[in-house]
Amino acid sequence: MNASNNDAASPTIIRRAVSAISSPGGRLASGGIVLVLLPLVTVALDRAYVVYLYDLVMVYVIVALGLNILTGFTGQISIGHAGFMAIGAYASAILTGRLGLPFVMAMPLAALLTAAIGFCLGIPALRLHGHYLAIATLGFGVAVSQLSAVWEGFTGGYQGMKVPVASILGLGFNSDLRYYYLALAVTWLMLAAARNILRTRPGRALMAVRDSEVAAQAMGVNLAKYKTASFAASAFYAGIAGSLYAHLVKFISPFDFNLGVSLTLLASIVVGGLGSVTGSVLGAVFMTLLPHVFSRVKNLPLVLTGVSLIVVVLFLPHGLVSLPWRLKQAAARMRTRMGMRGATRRGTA
Amino acid sequence: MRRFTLIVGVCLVAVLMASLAGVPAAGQVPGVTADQVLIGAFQDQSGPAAVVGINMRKGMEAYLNWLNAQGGVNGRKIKLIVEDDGFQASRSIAAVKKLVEQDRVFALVGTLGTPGVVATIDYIMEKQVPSVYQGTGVSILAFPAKKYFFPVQPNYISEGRIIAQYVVENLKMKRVAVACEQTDIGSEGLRGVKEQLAQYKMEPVAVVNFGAADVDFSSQVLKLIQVKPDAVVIYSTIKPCAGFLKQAATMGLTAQFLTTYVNADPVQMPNLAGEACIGLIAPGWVPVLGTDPDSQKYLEIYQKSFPNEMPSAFAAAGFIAAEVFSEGLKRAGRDVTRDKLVTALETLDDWHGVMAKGITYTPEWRSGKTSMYFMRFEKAKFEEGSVKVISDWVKLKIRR
Repeated sequence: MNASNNDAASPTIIRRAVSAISSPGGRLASGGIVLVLLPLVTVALDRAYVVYLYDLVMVYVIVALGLNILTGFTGQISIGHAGFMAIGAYASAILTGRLGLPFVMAMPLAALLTAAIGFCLGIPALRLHGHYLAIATLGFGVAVSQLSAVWEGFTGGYQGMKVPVASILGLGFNSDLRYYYLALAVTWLMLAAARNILRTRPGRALMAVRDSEVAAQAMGVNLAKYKTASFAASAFYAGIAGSLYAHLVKFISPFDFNLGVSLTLLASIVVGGLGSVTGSVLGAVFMTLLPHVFSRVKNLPLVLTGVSLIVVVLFLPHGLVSLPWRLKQAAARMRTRMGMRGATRRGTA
Repeated sequence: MRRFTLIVGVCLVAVLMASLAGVPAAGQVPGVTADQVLIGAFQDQSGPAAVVGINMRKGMEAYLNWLNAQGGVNGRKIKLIVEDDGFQASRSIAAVKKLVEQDRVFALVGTLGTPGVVATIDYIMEKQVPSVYQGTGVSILAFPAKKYFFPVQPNYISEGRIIAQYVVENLKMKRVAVACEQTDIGSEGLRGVKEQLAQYKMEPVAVVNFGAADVDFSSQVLKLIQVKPDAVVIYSTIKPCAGFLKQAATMGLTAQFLTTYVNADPVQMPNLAGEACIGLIAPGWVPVLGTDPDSQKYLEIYQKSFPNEMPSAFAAAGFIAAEVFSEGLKRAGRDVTRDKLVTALETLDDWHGVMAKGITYTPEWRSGKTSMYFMRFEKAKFEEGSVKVISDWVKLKIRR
């Protein structure tokens, strides 16, 4: 009774606001406003350090997105994505720190270099499938981490190297809050690009390759071209993420890009949802925040990672992104069952 | 457009209300209450250096448990929060920010790992949080001195100085040569040796270089044979050091060889160098467990928390970290502030605790460990008595 009263009395402005938010444009705008205000609210709540975590999350969102293009959309596994991140990070650090290039140039250059290396790795990967590709990419990831440790003159070896503060036109991104907006802009660009590429012809070609290589070829999809392009694009994303990582942490060493990181990245897209842009975001948020939330309980983050992987693979094969849909399905099933029971009861009465 | 202004308005109100709710109490020393001092650390508990982090934490906890059972320091118990950073700099930063901003720890004690420690220097200096003992030997913590950093572990620069002092004053040798690896170990060690020799108006008779991956040292050894040094200090990692010793033995270079504490590995060194390691002298800084009263006390304190367990060398490191901090806290008095802790730590002058030996700080000198002892390799394989301690604590002479 109360509810219906409220409904009648509630000013139309709320209803209009609700309908505005749920329209596609409105959703984008309100989402944007929430993201812009999120760090300000966090700082106001006296939790400024959490803004740093937001920054870190966005770094991993970008690299997860790249990995999902390769693994989720093209069906090519990679257990070496931390290697691509490392290349982007070191390249950006060397370009800005040693060669004095401005950040706005260093970041795309670092990403292009990473993409070029991704392209090169894509060529031998053309002959490899399944486990063999997994092993090859694993080897790549480990090799990059080892190389960055041994190549001391260039990378500082195990002692690591300092990375200068990112600055654009004299504006230094030296606080977590400022960096947030830089990372948000880059992440938004990368997300929009991924969505657009995947919705158009090349995106459909990638998915065709994933679903059946033979069928894709029969439809006129050039396997070699699309697979290597997918490797390059994926590496480009990892390179951008690596560059963002380097200028956020301002210190990089081989420990930041080891095998564990590659495996976590893979786990994050599986947990979030393979072949889904939103899934990449969800997975990266989940896997980045997990160790921080439980950083005081020994080994719990590792255990939870394992458990969430098992749970997702068993009960949510399409990842966290499919959760609302699965819940809706379950609710519908429940409703029909309840409805049938109600009907029979009424029938007998 | 109106609906957007509505949303923005609602959010702004939320921000304002939140900002009013979250004002911290002003004028209070962070982490210090009437009966407790809160300290924090990031230590790898699950990543590649977990074996170090877990044991360091045990050493710290053992000492703090014992200290708190005695009534703590100046009527306050010390509570430690450990954040697991998985040995990743990005996570160390998050850990330090969480400790400083959310938990409001008074100080950081026993943070572990070069990447995390180096990545958080600027933040710690900006927030003016004292950081006592870092589990790394990088010398940028001590050189130049940083107000809020109190490193304990020796770095190559101060170690190089102690080695040079030992060679000149204890071994009475004058012709000192240095063989160094072309990495930070070599360059920093060389810098230390040179700085100390300069105090005696001396300089190295020869300096030879080699790469970290080199296996042939004949040209370097030949050059040293020509200058006939009394002592050769080898500043490198363990592999080239062993290789250099072997080459020197075959080519007949006779001199007293010395190397860094990092290479004083009683198992690996004889394995790699064989007979050539006999006579090699290296310093050590963590006291060897013996039958002396301090060792016994350390064991007793440790085993109170971890019964029937032998502490590892990393536990000793954690123990020393907790000891140095607690001594500083004691000297800072009951009305402690962060800056008072800094001033109090600067009064440590060749201070001896249970395991912490010869700790010295001044406003300009922040390489805490200013004394080391020396040991000599006696046998070509690891067994009873293969490494013999040959000196007492050698204290570095610095100008106060």
